[in-house]
Amino acid sequence: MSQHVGPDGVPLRHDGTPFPNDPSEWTEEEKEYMRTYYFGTREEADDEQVTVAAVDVPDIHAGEGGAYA
Amino acid sequence: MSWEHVINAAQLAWKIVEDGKPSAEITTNTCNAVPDVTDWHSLTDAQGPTYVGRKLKFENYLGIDVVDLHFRVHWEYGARYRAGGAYIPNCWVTVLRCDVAWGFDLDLRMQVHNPTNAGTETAPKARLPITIVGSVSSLVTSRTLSWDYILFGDGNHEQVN
Repeated sequence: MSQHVGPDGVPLRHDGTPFPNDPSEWTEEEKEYMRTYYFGTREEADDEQVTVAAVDVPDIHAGEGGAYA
Repeated sequence: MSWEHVINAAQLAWKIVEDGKPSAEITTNTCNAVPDVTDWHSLTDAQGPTYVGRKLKFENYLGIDVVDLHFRVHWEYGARYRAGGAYIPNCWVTVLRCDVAWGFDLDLRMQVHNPTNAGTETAPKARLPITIVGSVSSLVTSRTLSWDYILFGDGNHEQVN
C-alpha cells in the first residue's frame, strides 16, 4: 500500500495514481488503509491567553444630560 | 433604554472558516457590548485590543498536518460612557493560519450571545459571551469543535471550555 502523497496533496495509491475523491471507488484494503493512516489523526491544541491589567470601572456621570432615555 | 443595560449593536453571528478557507465575513463583521443609549457611538477611552486565541492542529498517522488552524478573538475594552463604565466597543475575529489537506474540511462560525452588565447600575461592566463553533470532517469522520469565551469590559476574559 502506498505511503506517499502527491505534490498536490492527494494521497497516492500503490501504483502511484491519486486516490479518487469518491471513497466508493476505493478497494476495501484501501479504505482500511486510508481510515487508519490518512484520516486517523491526533490533535495538538494550544490556547493563547493574553492577560492585561484590568481597568477601573468608574461611575457614570449621570448629570451630564444627553441620550439617557 | 439606559446605560446599565448592555446590548450588542452589531452582528450576532458570522462565518469564520468556510469550506476550509477563511471566510470573507471576518473582514466586515464585528460585535460589541455597549450601553443601550442612542449615543453609544460617543464612547471614549477605549483600550487594547487584547485577544484570546487558539492553535489547533490535526496530524495523521502518515505524519501529515491535515488541519492547521490559528484564530484569535480580539476586543477593545475599557470604553467609557460619560466618563464611566467599561464597555466593549469592538470585537472581531482574525484567522492567522488555515491549512486543510485533501479529503478534510473545516467550518467555523462565530456566535454572539446576549451581553449583560457584570458591574453595577452606576458603573456598568460589559460581559460578552461568545462561542466559536464548527466541525472538522473528512471523507470518513466528523468531529464537532466548540469553544466558549466570556469577554469583559475591563479587559479580563474567561474560557469556559
